[in-house]
Amino acid sequence: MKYFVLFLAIFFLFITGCGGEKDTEANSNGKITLQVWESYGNDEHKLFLKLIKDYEKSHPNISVKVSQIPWTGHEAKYRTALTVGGAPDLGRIDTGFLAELATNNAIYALDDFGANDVASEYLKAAFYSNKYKGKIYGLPDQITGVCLFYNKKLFKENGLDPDTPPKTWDEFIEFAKKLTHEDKKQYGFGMDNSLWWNFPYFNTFGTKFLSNDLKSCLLNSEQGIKAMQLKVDLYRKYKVEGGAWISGAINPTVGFLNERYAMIFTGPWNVKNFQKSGIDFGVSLIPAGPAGTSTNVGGTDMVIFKSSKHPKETYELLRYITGADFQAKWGTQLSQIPTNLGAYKKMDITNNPILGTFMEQMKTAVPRPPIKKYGKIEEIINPEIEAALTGKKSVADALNDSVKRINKEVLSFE
Amino acid sequence: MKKFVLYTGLILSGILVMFPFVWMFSTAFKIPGTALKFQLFPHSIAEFHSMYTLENFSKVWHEMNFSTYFIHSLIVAGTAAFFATLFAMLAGYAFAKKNFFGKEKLYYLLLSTMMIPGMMYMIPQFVIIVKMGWYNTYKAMIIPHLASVFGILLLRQFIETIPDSLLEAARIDGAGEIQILRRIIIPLAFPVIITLFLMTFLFHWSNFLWQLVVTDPGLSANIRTLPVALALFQGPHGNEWELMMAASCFSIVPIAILFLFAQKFFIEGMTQGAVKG
Repeated sequence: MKYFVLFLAIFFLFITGCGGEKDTEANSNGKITLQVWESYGNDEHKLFLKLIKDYEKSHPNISVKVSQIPWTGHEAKYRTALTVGGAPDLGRIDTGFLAELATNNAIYALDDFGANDVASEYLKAAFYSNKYKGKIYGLPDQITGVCLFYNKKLFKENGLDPDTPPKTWDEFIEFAKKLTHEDKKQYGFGMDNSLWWNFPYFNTFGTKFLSNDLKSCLLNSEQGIKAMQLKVDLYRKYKVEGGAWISGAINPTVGFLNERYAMIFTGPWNVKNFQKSGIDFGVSLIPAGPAGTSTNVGGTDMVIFKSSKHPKETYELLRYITGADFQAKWGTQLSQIPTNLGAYKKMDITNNPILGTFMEQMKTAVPRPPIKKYGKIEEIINPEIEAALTGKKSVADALNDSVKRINKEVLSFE
Repeated sequence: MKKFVLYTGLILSGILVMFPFVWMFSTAFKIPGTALKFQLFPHSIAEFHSMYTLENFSKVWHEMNFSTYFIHSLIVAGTAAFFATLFAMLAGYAFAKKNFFGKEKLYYLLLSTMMIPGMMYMIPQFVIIVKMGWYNTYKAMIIPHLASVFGILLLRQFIETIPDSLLEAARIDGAGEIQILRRIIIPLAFPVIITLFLMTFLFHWSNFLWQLVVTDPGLSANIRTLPVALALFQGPHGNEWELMMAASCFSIVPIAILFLFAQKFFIEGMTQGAVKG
């Protein structure tokens, strides 16, 4: 027994002595090696590797090492890597992270590489998150936004035409009333409640989020109050919403999947899940308010870190990844919205009407301006809107209180 | 009557506790994309085939290299648990039975380090690791946590309850220090030692943040461990539940085996020191 333990101990010591390699600048054959960190899901990762291989074939002096890092914790990973100069050449980040990296001088301003000349190639909503304090710090590789998903079967069952989704908020309320049967626990609508998910309401009423100098929040304007009043009315006045935003309740995605909510707002990432689960659904634009239809913008950007020894080559790679060809292939095969306007023309979406709807929606989407502490804004305003939903506060009070705090605690630091 | 209430209560609690595992297990078999559907039982054989599949397991084990990550985690957790327990035992014995200059002060200093939240250590430890050239090695994942103050505390408390007279008698009979450790301390403290081993193993088996930060993804993830690999299933919008659950089924196997094996000692270890005698 004791010899076994001794053997184990020596075995473990041996193992830990080896294992793990150190990366040496393998500049054999004069090849340039570029490191890319991406946080894609498994299907995306596979396609990315394939398209990168094509790039390597057409650029024989460049070798690209792609590493997949988990999305949860990617910010921590970048932060720790930066403290020891171990950041990659090119990295994919959440759009909200860009402002922090730019402020701390961790990434290159791409104006020097000619990014200004190519800005018009990109979807405005996607490009917007890359501009910070007048300079361009990255290029968008992925864009998402939400649209209206509706259950065609439930439409038919309640006497509504499954090919005519609601186009305005008034129609939406009318349809939702027909689709609500509280006794069967079925509701016309299920909604999320956080600032990002509330932007469709704000945007369709033409509410501006922040002033141009980023010093004051404008959500408590007349349009903002009207927008939130509509949202609160859906739950309190018309009673067509199933309380999906209440913690512990059935959230919109699960509710739609199990046919408890006939309509929800969600993005392209759920399309496959709904199709696989056998739901008969359609996708249409967000109902139009006084300012027309609009939606929120999410997504990711790719940035070049200052520790990169080959920023010019990295910029070229970045242009390839966000280029029309790449984005067209990406969009077609993964059903995602391309960030490059050139890709729109290259894609044949006759077989993919859902993707077509999303692409159409992004033309009127309104992005959020990059600010260092966007998360704190959400922390302040979300409970206030929840108070309005539960009836504890009036909508005007909730918005006024939020704006006061946001101006003081977040925007005064910009 | 009392028994009836007791058994009912226990069965209900058992079901409550089992439920997450039931969910995990059933989701691992589901067709990707259908994890969140409430329906558990198919209404027909045809529906069964559109709901359940065995593919997730083989995909995760082979295609996604989880067999490799499993072994890496085993190495990290096993080595760390073994050495942490060894060091804690030696230190616990020294603090309990030996006298040396500054013993009490040193002990309280060590205890006070437990008040600092672990996150505060992350950046300084990371910088030290990199400066020593240990970035992306097993050493970096194992060595920083080998001095477990909690372990020293646990073992010191227990070894103090071993009567000095026993040790004196052994010394009179000619036992050296190593003999005392081997023949007296370890057999008596075995429940506590096993407990510590299990807890350290569990900690390293699921230690996500440190292992993420210290491994370099750029070298074909050659020492990537399970918690980091599991996180790859989580995206900014929703997770790939079915694959994640299949991978989780694999990752709980060693823990389950260890616990079953050591449960006798574990329960004893948790209640040791509660009764003086």
